[in-house]
Amino acid sequence: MLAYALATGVIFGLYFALVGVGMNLVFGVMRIVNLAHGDFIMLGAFGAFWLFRGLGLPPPVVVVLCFATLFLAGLPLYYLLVPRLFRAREPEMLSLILFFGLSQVIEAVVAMLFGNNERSIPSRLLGGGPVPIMGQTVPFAWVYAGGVSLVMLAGVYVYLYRTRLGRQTRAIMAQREEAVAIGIDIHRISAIAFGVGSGLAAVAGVFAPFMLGSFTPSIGVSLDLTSFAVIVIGSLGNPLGTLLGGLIFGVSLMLMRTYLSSFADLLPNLVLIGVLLVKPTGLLGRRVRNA
Amino acid sequence: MHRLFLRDIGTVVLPLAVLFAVLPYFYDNGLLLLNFVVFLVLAQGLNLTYGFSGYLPFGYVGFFGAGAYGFSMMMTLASAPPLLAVLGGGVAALLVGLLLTPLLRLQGAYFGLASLAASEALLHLIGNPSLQDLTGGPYGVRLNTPYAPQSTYVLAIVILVLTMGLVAWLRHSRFGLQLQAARDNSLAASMAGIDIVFGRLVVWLASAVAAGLIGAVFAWRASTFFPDAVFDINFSIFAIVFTLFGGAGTLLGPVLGVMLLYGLYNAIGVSAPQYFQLGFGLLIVVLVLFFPEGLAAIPRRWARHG
Amino acid sequence: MTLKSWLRVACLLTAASAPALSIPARAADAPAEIKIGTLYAGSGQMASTSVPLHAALEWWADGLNKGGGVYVKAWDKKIPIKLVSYDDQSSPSLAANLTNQLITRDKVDILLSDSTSVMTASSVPVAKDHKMLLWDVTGSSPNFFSPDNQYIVLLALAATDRYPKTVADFVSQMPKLGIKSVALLYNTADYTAFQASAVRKAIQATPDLKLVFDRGVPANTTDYTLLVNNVDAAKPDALFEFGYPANEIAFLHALQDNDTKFKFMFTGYGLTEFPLMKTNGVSDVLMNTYALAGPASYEFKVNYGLNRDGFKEAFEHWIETKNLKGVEFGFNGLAGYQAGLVIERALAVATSLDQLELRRAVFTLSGTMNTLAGPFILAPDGSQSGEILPLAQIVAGAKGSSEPGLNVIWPADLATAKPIYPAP
Repeated sequence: MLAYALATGVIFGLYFALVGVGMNLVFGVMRIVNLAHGDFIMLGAFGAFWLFRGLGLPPPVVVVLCFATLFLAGLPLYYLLVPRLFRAREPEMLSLILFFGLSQVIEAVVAMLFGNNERSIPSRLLGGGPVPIMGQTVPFAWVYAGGVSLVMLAGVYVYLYRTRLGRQTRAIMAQREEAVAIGIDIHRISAIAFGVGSGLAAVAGVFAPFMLGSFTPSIGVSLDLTSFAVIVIGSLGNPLGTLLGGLIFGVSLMLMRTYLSSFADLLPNLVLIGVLLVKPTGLLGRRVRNA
Repeated sequence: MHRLFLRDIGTVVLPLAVLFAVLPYFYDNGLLLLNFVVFLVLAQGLNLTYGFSGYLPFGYVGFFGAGAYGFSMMMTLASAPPLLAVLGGGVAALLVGLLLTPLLRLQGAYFGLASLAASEALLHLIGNPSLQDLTGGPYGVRLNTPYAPQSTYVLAIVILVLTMGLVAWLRHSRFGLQLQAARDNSLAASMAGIDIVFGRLVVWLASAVAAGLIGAVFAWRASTFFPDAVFDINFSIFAIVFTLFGGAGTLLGPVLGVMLLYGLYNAIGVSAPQYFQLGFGLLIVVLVLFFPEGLAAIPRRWARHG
Repeated sequence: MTLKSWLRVACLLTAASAPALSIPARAADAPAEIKIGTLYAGSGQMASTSVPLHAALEWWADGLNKGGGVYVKAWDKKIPIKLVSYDDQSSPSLAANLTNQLITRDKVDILLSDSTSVMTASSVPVAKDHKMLLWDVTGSSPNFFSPDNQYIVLLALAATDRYPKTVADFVSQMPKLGIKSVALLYNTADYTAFQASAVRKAIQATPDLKLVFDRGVPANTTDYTLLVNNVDAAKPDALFEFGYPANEIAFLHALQDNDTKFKFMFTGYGLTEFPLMKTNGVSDVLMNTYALAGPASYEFKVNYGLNRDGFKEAFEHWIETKNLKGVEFGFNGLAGYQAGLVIERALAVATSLDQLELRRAVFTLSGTMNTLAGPFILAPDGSQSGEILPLAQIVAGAKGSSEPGLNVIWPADLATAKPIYPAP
């Protein structure tokens, strides 16, 4: 039972890393907390529901379509909201409120258009039968989602560390003022990062019905909390730390479900607080940040 | 200091208390009035810590819930008289605040989110079936208190006056001014020899007690509730939105925030319920984009632009 | 703001509220409409249960109004119904405010609460305080009912402490089938945990049964794969699972994905929201499992209102013509209609709209009214003790029917078949 819990914890860890990485990218580049992140994930889940379950498109096409749609939606959203936000005295704090408002708007519109009832997608539709692991089985959809998560995280790595765009993005993350001084177009780079973050959320959303059971328009808030926990454990503002955060979160959640299930909700919060107190910048954080 | 403090009390705190004391004679949704006072206390309580030390606790509702459960456990387990149990609610929040003091080492969003995690943890602990005998667990609380709409309302106003009195005092006392200086520039303040850590701890705990006391009053009035109801994250969000909208660190700002936004919130809810969530969401977005420093900053802005 | 301007605000408020106060009440004339106030959750966690209930209420009111309104004994004529509905957004504190709004500002004649115990809890003390009868549709927590509160009646669901009675009684019969070990998996929310504890007590009281797995999971658990594997590893002969629809869908998906089957499996919501399970593609997993036959799947004998099939057809037509999103026929819709039926009957009995007279009128229905929700029986404290559901095994439906077949197996006097154990 222990080995199985660990194995499923790793699969979920990869997925949770995907859930959090978009929010972390946005925080790293813009120093804003995107509370509408969970709603972008919810939109991805609706995307999967129509494109995959409804129209029967192949999963890779659904992933690409959802990523592209949210990426393209993210760009104007950035220009509409973020530059204005930065004129305020404390954009980091205000971002929490601003994006909470946006999250309410998205949830309300989706509920009005499509209703509030539970939706889900049978994992069988993704193909494959139960996959044997450690003497027990996991649904093929989990392995699929874990694999896609790994590919997306690798994509984030390539984007950040192997491209010119990524170098500029990291320059903004490290020293915003200096990046401006050396002539980097902050808004263009940030808008792309915001789009990528939103797109990643949508991809996480495509697999949400398989990993999280059913979904409704109101799942956003709890996904935000999960994302926070994952990225703060890894290290806020360091997108690759998210992988570590996700793994720790996933494994501890599965251990808890195996041995102390009724307290399973308590643990992620305690891990989050514990990590913050021991190492306030997250496990992979480098320097103390002054807010 | 004394003169300015008394002016604040005389022009803002007391008129507000009088207004709420007479409102029940003209408006009969007494529960809505109580909720106005509850949100005024929460907004001013949050103002204590955010306005004077810069810590924005997203899990502020944790203190509110701790107060509600402190109250109900005093009632059910110790059969305390209600007034004493309200104090018990304040003490419960104080204890939670003390337990969470290590969080003050964190800053910015880290602190905000860690406090949120703490409040969630408290909710899941209290609502766990294994604590049924102590807290009622997921089955909720039923109190056999005498239902006392008037006492709870008066008590809420008293708590409001105390909380706002503290805010007014902080705005004009040496202690408060030093804290505000530290908030804006902690390096300069620490060089001036101010014990920032102690100051922040004081406002943090005061803020916790305010939320705990009003949480206890809320529980008294509700008498039947489930854990989710008193740890509803919307209490935190609303208190933050109201405070920021009005202007943190001021006395009148959070009051304006509650009166206008909570008033508008209820107006939308009653007149156009189907657009409730949409309307409130849009309102928040517009406010943050166009009035980022709150209403209290508008006269200053006008003055600047001449 | 200065003191002067505060006073000005106070004066304005006073002036604004004055006209409302000066309208005299004319009790003798028949009112132009009967105001029925209710709350629903248009968004948030409770929306998926609350919206169908509210849709059914609207359908009910619309149907009566087309015929000139509801018959009111007090004036011996039909009076149109006006439904005053507010969205509480699944927020209990807002629900308390809005309940007060319905009573004090809208002055409704009949006050309904939102669905679920969590939301109803907000309305109970407010209604009691204003001496308004709370027509509690599905808030079944025993916390709400006490002999000193006259102002509440439970309409569409047996109180939580009575609801699992059939299952608990059946547990003692399980050894006869050859069942020796039992597993219990439940959601730690009030409603489901309560049922689980009733079953646990019954298992412990049955000498030949052993509880080999007993675990609660948080209410927002929507992934059951690991839990299902853990239950499977304990090798129980029987599994009882209690969850809300979201849990249930995830639980059944997990069984489906893992090809896990139990020789005897009971689910809490399997039949209560069968159409929802069907749209989510998990109804096949329910074949040969057991569930309480909720009114949405079991045809109760009716002496008032539409029967189940009639309501299903009418409600589904309404959903289609009104183009309601995300609403399906199921227990919650049916509960909304049941609330309407009780109101309708009570107004035909009550000699005035006085709240205690309304309560008296509702009590006259107790034991005499049989609707599609089952026999309506009130305990003296206002809680529902009728509407007890039989335990059924789900079997293949009739050819061409979209609905499952039911073998009622308990209580003995209603049983139509013997349980098939182990499930094929």
